[in-house]
Amino acid sequence: MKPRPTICAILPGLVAVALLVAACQDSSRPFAPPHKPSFWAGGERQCPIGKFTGGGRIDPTPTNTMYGKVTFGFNIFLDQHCNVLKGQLEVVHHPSQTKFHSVSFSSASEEGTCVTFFGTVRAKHANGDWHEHSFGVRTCDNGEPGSSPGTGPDTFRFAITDDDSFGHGDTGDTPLTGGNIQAH
Amino acid sequence: MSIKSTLGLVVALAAGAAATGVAQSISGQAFGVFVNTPAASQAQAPLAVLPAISGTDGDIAHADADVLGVPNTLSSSFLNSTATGAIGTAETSAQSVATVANVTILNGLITAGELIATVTSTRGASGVTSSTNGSTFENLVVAGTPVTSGDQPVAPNTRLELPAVGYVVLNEQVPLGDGVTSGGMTVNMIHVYLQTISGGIVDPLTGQLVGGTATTTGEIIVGSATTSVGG
Repeated sequence: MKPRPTICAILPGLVAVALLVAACQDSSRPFAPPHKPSFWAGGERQCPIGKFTGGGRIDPTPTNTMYGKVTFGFNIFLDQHCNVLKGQLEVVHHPSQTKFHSVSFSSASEEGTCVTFFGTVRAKHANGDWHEHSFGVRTCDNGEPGSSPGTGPDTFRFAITDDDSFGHGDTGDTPLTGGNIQAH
Repeated sequence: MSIKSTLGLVVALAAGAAATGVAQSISGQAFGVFVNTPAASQAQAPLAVLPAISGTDGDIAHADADVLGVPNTLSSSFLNSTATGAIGTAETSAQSVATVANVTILNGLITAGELIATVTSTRGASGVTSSTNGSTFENLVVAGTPVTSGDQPVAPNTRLELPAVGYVVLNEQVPLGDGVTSGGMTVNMIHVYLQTISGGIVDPLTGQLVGGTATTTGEIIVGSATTSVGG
């Protein structure tokens, strides 16, 4: 007759399974940054706010290469070293009927309550085909409400950095006509 | 730590969060058109709904369409809907934007080059606020009368009669929540109410119907954005 396993014999196995589950959960976190010790300074950029969200409208003037009605929405989540944990960006330039959707983010930085981030968007002009461009965004939470009657105080800037044709270009730092930027 | 003291700590933290105005829920949605009439229907489209957010997280939703029409009721193009929002430790906000171009309603009874609905709701230390700044109509014409020239706002809840059809409310604003612990706003840029009138008499001098009871039989909404933040 085979001896029945005792709790002492099973316990090490249970501990091993628990450790394995914990390790698997830890490694499955999306966008997990490389692990660094808590005292890490390392000379890297610092992003103490780390979380920005916003949406609304700007009306850049013709002094900019992208002007007229522009609507947008975004969120961007950074770790303390400015690695992009997750983010999305939607921008619509109405005069040219061009829409932009983010594909990826390459870098980001913070300055006060402003965030700047770069990456790649796919763009589509009216009924045309989707194609990709490099982009940059700089946006600032300058107070509440983000857009008073008139404009501002919050600002948003969207620029296609590899093309200056109609529907692309640079909005410049433009105060919000509507909506809000929130630095959390 | 005992179960009682743990529960006490949880309750204290929750009370503290409420006292400092930290919102624990947000919502947002935007859509271009909605039609519900006896003759035709069109579900809210393109519809962007902010996913449920828990903890201190955030998200975004987007939907678009090149063209969208309902025969004899509505035509439009270049429709874009976006909703964003995030819950923070000190402040929470949601933003929604809906845009629709080349709008024609009821065979030209109402036309607009483009309209933008934008709304934002924020909850922070100073309380709950909502704003529809930036909501405008481009070259809006109602029943042959120009309402805006170029891109302009229209006063909230502007009601115009549409003889033999019903009426339209422009920049319709519907507050949400109690305004203290929760709040928000829906803005419908064009909301047509179709009506029939029963009873009443025809004035022999003007030929117009006098009296009677109006019954709403359908509605058309173009450009709608909603945000709310809750405790």
